[in-house]
Amino acid sequence: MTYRYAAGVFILMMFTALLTACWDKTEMNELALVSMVGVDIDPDSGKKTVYYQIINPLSGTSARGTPGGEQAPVYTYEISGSSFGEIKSTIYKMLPRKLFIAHSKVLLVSQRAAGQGIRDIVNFIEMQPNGRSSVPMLIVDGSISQVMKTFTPLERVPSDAIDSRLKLLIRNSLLAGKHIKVNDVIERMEKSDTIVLPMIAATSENPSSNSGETAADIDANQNNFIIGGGAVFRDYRMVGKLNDAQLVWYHLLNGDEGRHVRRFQVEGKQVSMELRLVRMQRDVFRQSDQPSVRIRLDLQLSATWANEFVPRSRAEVKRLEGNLNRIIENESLAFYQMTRERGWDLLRIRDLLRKQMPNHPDIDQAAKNAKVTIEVATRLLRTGSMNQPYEGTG
Amino acid sequence: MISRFQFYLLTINYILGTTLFVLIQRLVKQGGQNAWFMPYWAGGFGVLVGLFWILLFRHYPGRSLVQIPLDAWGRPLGTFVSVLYFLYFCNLAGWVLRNLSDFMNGTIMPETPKSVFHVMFLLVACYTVAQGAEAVGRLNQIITPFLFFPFWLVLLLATVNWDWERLQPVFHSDLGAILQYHSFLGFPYMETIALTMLFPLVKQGAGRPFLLGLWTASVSLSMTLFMIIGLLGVERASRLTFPVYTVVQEVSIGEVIVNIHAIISVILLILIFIKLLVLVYGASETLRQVFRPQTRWPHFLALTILLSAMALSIYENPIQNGEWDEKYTFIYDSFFVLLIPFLLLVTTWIKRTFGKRTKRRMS
Repeated sequence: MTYRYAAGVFILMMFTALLTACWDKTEMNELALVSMVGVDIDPDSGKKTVYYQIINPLSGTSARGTPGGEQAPVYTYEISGSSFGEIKSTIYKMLPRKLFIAHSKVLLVSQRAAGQGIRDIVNFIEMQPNGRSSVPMLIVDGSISQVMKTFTPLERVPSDAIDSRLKLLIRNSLLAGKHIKVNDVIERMEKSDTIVLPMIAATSENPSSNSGETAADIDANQNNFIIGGGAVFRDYRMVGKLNDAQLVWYHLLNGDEGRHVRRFQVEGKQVSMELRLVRMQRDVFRQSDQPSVRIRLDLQLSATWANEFVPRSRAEVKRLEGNLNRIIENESLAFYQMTRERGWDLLRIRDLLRKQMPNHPDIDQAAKNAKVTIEVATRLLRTGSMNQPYEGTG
Repeated sequence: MISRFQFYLLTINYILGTTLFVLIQRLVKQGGQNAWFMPYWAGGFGVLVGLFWILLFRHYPGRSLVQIPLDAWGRPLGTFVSVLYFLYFCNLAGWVLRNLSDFMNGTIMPETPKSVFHVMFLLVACYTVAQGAEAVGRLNQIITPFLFFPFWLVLLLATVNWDWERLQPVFHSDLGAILQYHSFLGFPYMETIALTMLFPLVKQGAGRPFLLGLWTASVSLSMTLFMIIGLLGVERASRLTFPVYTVVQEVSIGEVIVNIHAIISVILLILIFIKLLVLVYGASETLRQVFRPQTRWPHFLALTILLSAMALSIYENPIQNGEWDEKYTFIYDSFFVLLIPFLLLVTTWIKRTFGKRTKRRMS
């Protein structure tokens, strides 16, 4: 009996040799944790350059006071090759740890690569077994190498800085929207739709490559990058840019719900109002054989930031709301006209018609000729801590 | 003996087994945004086939699938047919194992050799099967809540990415394409014939729990497809190798709930294991019932070797698997699932009528 027991234990122990950790074990300190990926393609030679920003595990509070000063929070590795797959192998000429991209937070693409087409990039990301395509994608205005080698103040890891700025922008403005991830790009492009991705640019020509210096400098604008503007994509290719003012209308008409403060000129007076989309309704109906699209926006206004003017009476509120309705209707219609002239379907009319009128013979033409009307209904629901601003005695 | 409820759960998990891995992508490709409808008509077909088997089993109470040919066609021919079924079960088991190791290699364990997965799973499966059908049924019963709740919980967590517009326009795409996809009838529905090995062991009859299980599995498949389309969209779901896995991979709620796809991997692994259990049970029981050996462990050892080799050589890459599945699954499965049972039924009827006549003449 004892022998059988011993034999059983022995066999069980032999099984441990089959436990798969022998092949796929990964120790944390053998991994290069990628926080941000940058991609550039040379339009002439087609040479691909990938930047991997890798988190330095020794940085942070624990490394303070180590001899030789503070360590950099991230290191950027730059590697070129004729294809992205090749880079996977050649990266180890420089990188001493196993590349681990599953936790990367941001993807940056240079503007020239975006102009050439990002289909290759997107395919590569979606194909990788452990890659995630639910990361935001930003287009770099200017030099990508510069942005990839910029340390950010306050938020030490640049990818965290971008991620958190995007979140704040989505919530507190209409300058960025929710649909900016790689998987959104794929979905929209495969439906021959359009998408607008945020752009990022370095603030100075020669940013400091020393994180200690960046951390010690009071001027946060000196070594930094700034998110602004939008890159319009159609068929995996960047076809144009939107400025910040246009981005507001784009995001509003696409149903983003950030609280955006904007100054309006109402009856000769300036007034800063915060808008927030409550509900958007898009209806399609036929009007003399031509599809007609009616977009209705219900907006919630807040006078919290209106330090110039706060309406005094119910009648004034009504008048302000009426005026704002008209202004927003006109400006968004003007935005729509602009996009239509350039041939960008930024309001995604085609997608709407495809769903609502699947039997239409020529959906592309119908989307181009569709008559679009925009109706805005604003309601002032909140005010700030003062019911009237101080007016002085003059 | 296993209870009806245990058999019901076993049927569901057997059907869901590899389907959630292999088929989701192809179904979405075929059916577009209406792919969620496909399991209903395929399930309807499955129920019809199930009724047909039950009709056959009515004539042979207490006999299993491989004993029926012995009774109906005599020892030599019956043994031959039983061995065919044995090979069919082995083939399916090899397939299941290979799908599993493909999944593991393609997602979290890219460097582990495939045989390691195969042999490890087979060792545990053989041990369980050696304990008898009760162990299989009870194991499945205990483990099902641990599959059901986490699976739907992670899918519900994933609904942060939900978009109703992905499911529109409803029923506009070509419904003919949905009906044309005959391989879906073969895999997974016709493969349920392995479950008939357990028919004689179900207390109070296996027919109702089997058909009910078939239908429940179809409903859950349909719901899964519906969610996959709403979460990924047709464009991505029809191209990704493992859409269920990707759906969960992309869940991120705040800073805490990210990268929870390990949960779905474990669920899928266990589901596959249950399918493997039934197939190994079928294969080993066939050997036992037909050849009646004194000791069983050499057979389990041989099965492990045979199945791991089968799994390694059944196809070279998932591309071949896909092509086979689309072109030949239905025909191949029909031979075992429709033709042989049909012939058995015909001989049984003939024997009955002639038997009665001779009896009448004798009296």
